[in-house]
Amino acid sequence: MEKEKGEEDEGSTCLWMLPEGCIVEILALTSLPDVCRLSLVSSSLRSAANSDFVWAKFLLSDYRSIIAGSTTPIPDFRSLKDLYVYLSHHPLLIDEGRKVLKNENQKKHTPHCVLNMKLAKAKSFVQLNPPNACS
Amino acid sequence: MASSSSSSKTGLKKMLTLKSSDGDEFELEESIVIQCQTIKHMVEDGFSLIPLQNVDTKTLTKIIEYMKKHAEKTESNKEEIKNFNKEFVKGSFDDQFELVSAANYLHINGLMDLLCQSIADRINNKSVRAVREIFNISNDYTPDEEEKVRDEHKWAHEGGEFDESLD
Repeated sequence: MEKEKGEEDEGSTCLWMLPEGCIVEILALTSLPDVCRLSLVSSSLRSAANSDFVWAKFLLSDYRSIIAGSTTPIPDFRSLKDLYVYLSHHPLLIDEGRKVLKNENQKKHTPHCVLNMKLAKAKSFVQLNPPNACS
Repeated sequence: MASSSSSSKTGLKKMLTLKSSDGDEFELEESIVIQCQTIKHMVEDGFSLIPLQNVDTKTLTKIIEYMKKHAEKTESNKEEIKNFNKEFVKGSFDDQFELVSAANYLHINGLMDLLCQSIADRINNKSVRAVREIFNISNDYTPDEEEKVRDEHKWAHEGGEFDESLD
């Protein structure tokens, strides 16, 4: 918007030719590192990259029921991105406290974050712990 | 009498006309065109001439090519369709964007998925600079803001070789 008119001439490709819904859909089909990196392109792309539609793709599809069934209290989040980042750093007790769902790499929310995987595939990250192991 | 009843029995194909924003008309079988949800709804409302004000002739020609091919889809030609799809998405970003906008407007879900995935694959691992250049996006961050956004996902900017190519 703020850019000078001259920059958009000669029919060159412009991302904003697309409806925002399409941009968000495309971003959701890239990958977590791409989405995080492309936030740096511009503030408009960052706001598309931060949308819940995009981050829902990086969470387990049944994240709602997992969180609801967890014994670890977690705060309310304004966006799925905030939720994702929080879960990447905070192990979650599930299955009545017998298992812990956690990110293997606690230092950063990498694309290998357990939340990026289907629960079935995440078995190696689900460790059997006594209920009070994480308290 | 006999001939008319036999023609309806063999299914005399119902034809529809699509009209591009440039005014060109394309006559197609209804069975091909109803892959497109927007048109399907218009057909249900009794339209047989369908003006598409947001789709120019060049884009509509490509979209018809897609719908015709996908109307032939069966269990046995999966490989052929796969190859067709691969060729179909080979155009420039510009062409693909025109097609995405049209597919979105026309609600052709399969085509939307195909195009969005193809664009996403091409963006994958591109550098920030390349994306700015390809899509004509100016960096509207102040240096301070830029630093802050970079810090937010530091790991995503580190360690990798990013694709600087502009295609």
